[in-house]
Amino acid sequence: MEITTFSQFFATIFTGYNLAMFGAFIAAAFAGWGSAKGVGMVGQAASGLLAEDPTQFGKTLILQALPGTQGIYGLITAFLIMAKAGTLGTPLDLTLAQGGYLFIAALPIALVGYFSAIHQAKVSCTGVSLIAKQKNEVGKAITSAALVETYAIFALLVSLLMISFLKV
Amino acid sequence: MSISRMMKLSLVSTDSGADDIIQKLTWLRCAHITRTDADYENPDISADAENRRLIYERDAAALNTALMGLRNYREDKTGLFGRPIKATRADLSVEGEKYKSAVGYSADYAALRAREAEITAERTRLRQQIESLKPWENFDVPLDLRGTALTELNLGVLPPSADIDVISAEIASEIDSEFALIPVSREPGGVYVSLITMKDGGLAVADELTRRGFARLEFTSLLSEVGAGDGASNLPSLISVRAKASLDALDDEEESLSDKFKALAAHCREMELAYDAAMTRAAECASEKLVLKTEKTTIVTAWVPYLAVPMVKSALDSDPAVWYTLSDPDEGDNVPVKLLNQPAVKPFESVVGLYSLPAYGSFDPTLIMSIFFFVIFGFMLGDVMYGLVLSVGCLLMLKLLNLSAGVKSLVKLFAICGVSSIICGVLFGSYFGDLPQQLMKNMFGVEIGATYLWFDMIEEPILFLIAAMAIGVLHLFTGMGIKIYMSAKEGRLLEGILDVVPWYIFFVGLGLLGGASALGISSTPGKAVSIAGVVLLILTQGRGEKNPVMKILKGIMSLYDTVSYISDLLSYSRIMALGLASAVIAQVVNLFGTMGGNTVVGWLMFLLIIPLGHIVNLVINLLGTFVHDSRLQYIEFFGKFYQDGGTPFAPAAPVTKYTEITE
Repeated sequence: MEITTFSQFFATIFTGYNLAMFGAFIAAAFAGWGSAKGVGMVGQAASGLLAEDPTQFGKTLILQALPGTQGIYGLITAFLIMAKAGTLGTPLDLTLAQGGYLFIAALPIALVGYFSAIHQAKVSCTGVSLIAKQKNEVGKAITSAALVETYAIFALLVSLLMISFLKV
Repeated sequence: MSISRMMKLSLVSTDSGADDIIQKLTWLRCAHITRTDADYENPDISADAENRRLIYERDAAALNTALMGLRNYREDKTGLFGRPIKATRADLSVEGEKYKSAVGYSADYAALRAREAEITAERTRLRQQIESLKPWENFDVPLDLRGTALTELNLGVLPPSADIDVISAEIASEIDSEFALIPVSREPGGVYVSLITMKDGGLAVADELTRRGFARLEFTSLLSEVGAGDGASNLPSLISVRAKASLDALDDEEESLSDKFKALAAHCREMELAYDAAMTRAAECASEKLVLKTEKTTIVTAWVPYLAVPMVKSALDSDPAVWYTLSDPDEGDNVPVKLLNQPAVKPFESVVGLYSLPAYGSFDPTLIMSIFFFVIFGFMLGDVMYGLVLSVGCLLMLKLLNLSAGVKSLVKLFAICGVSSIICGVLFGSYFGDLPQQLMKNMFGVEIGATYLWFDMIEEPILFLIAAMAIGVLHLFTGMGIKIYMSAKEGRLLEGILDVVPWYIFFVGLGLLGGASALGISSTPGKAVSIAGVVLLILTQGRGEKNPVMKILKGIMSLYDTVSYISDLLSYSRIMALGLASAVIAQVVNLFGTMGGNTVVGWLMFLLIIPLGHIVNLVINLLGTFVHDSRLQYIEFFGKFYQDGGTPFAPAAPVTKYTEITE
């Protein structure tokens, strides 16, 4: 189709398929962004402890990895949207409503993933200071940080269910 | 599956020193020595014990430094791949010559390291010397020559752009005094010159030169370093030659140091033994601070597990200078907690320990928890091949590596849980995710059906969610059941039943309602049971109040707890989320790995992407699975009944970082 008017241009860009892809992007980007920030924060806090006591690396590594999971959840959501839209095989001709639906399905993990990763990172950072003072309390530090993740998991669940319920 | 019964050992010894009896208890390895009188500490004894402890700790620290530093010089295997030294009690003694010589080796090591640092400093100094003399190599005057009777000699540097002839001519025209400005060398940093002036009137020449950028160079510190020789020996070229010779000598010495380190490294085994001996002795001194002591008698208090009592008795009965009693704990004693479990369940104690041990006299949840931990692990990471890799990998680690006790127990835990992954993998048809299907389809164009026994979790996420919730209901109900058991143990069986059973009835009713609406059958039984549950809750949950109105009000209020039970239950949806997460990532890895088709490039991609992708997926999800599986135990399960706060049972024992006691 040759593009001659603005509305044609608009119609080429705003297809259901592209909306779905935008959703995949939002899910991977925001959740990944939050995780990157979070893992970075804990990494900095951990280096402070490791400078004093390098033997604590294993424990701080677990705390550092915790805020990284939101990015994985975002990735999973993005892949499932792509699988639904046929990106990995033949792209499907989704209606605008279907594309919009997939876009909305990406929002829970995108938003909750971003914010929960950063909040989880804050708890993990304090967990690092906890280990600095009490070497054997790593279990408690990890559990506290894992509590924050619950909400990212719920958001992932909502995103996954929404995607899997769409009939295309 | 229980908390070990502890006996309090109160002991009086009339042996001269406290260390004999402490050593005896240490080598029994089953007595948790505790402060005899919580409020009283004999300052003299404690200071004496502390001093001795510090000495041994210093020995141990020196030995440790030497062992760490010599690691790269050793020829035998160390660390994870090393094997512990077989030793007896006599080997771990700090008395004999062996110990002394080992500590001596560590001192030798420290001396060698100090010499090594000196060599480095010396070398830097010599290099600087050579560097600073480079421009003067062709200057045939000793550096300490300051002039003759009438003339003065100065050395210095002019800016790189300076032209000596022009400057000499300019100054000669301005000042009426003889002088000579002789270029020595031209370097990128400037023109190095020697300046000979008359003693009278030389100052003016120097001033004029300074105005043109001349900077005088003094070699006083260099000369003081090389020492005052006779005239000719201070020629710059000779000083350089001597410095170079010293550098060569230093290089030789450093090489010989490396041989000396190698020679010391041959004694590492002795140092390892001495390290354990020193640490054991330090620990004994620390224990000594806990006892009460006069000149002739020592009073020790310790906790001994009931099963170890015969061993302690036989060891102490033979000692004529010891009197003791063994009794059950008194009210208010802080009794240490030791869990007793079968070998297959024991690794799960580390999961409990990461949270907090149960209080003494409460309930050891390890056995029941281990069953749920095992099942939930499989649901979260259900893949036959992942399970195989995990179990086999962990078994190999146990066989080949020298792991510390804590790590060993975790590795055992994962080896056991890998079996759960295998079982669940068969149920859900997951072998490296859907690798068989994708491989056959993308590489060979053959469609093969799903391989599951139960259902495909990605195709039927709702069924998976229901399964996860069902595990959750079982888990929570079990936790509540344990609460009844614990109440019964405290003689409050009725209380326990009234606390828990109405909730059982209520939730079973809700379950029936949900099931009826899903299957489209009559909801009457569900309604009846739920309502019965609600009525029972209202009638029972306010029983603590005296006022009948408050009784009912509190009963109604308790219905609000439904919210917390529901949130507990929803928490189990993470089983599904994590299970899907590992499965979906595995699928994506398989897709990329088989995308190239049945071609050379395709197979190269396959060999590269499939192993790497699955290892990354396994590691990431292993962490998530362990953390969230533990969390479900700690928050949802333990929250229903657990009394935490037990002090871990830590018997006085020899330190065996490098050794294995064979007695």
